[in-house]
Amino acid sequence: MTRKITLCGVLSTVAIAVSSLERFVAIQPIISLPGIKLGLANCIILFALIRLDLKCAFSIMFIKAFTVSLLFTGLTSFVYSFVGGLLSLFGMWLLLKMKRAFSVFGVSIAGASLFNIGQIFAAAFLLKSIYIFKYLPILLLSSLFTGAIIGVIVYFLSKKLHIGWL
Amino acid sequence: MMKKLKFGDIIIVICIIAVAVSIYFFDSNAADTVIVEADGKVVKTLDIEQDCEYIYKDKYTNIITVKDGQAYVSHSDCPDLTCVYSGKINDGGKIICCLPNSLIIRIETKKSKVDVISG
Repeated sequence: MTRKITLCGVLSTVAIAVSSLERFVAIQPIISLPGIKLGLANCIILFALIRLDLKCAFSIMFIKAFTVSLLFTGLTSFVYSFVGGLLSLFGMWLLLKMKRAFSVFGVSIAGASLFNIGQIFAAAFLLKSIYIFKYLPILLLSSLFTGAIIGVIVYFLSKKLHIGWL
Repeated sequence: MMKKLKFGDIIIVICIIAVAVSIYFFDSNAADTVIVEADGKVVKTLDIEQDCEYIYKDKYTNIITVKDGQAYVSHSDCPDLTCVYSGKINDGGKIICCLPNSLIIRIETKKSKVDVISG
């Protein structure tokens, strides 16, 4: 039990560190979309879903969103991150239950796109405008790529660490 | 590694592409009016054919410029600056937004007014 908690703690820290590093690679001037990022922390969260359980993965997601928004980006971005993370987490957890139909790549891509969808819903709610959905097409297309990359990372991680499944 | 791909993965990718395409083509006709919304309420409408500049001041200042049938944010003092980097929009399919300022700039056509987005 303590091992689980310790692992959660370590993974949370890694998620925060990875997410912070991402921020320093400024992609905004090149691809000017709010919310577009590599989302490497989703790597950690997906890994936690596979290796641990939903509760742990949720705490890691929450801690990461909370800390990163405290450190860098502010309260509104915490809301976006949390809603996106929640939807993404739940979706990935569901898909992981159907291991016959979905591989880690599918789960990861679904997770990435659900994260973006959650963020857009949160933004639409906060800005009280339905037109924010116009950002969704390009965000979804980018989530295909970022999801695939994250899937590859988690795949190799799991192989090296001899985690079951896959 | 490619052998590990399963049937459901393809479904997911197809779904995502389908959603993305349907939202994109939902309302991208010839442009007409530029609508500036703050907090969900329309604060200003501009004609896309008429070159002009509109300054919106709230928490931060955005200068919205309409020129040559396109609209864009020419200046902003928000901490994000995504709005400035967003480039120019000229049809209903794209928007520019300034999240720190709760501002959305979009284009609406006379032919199809979007009231509800389905799906």
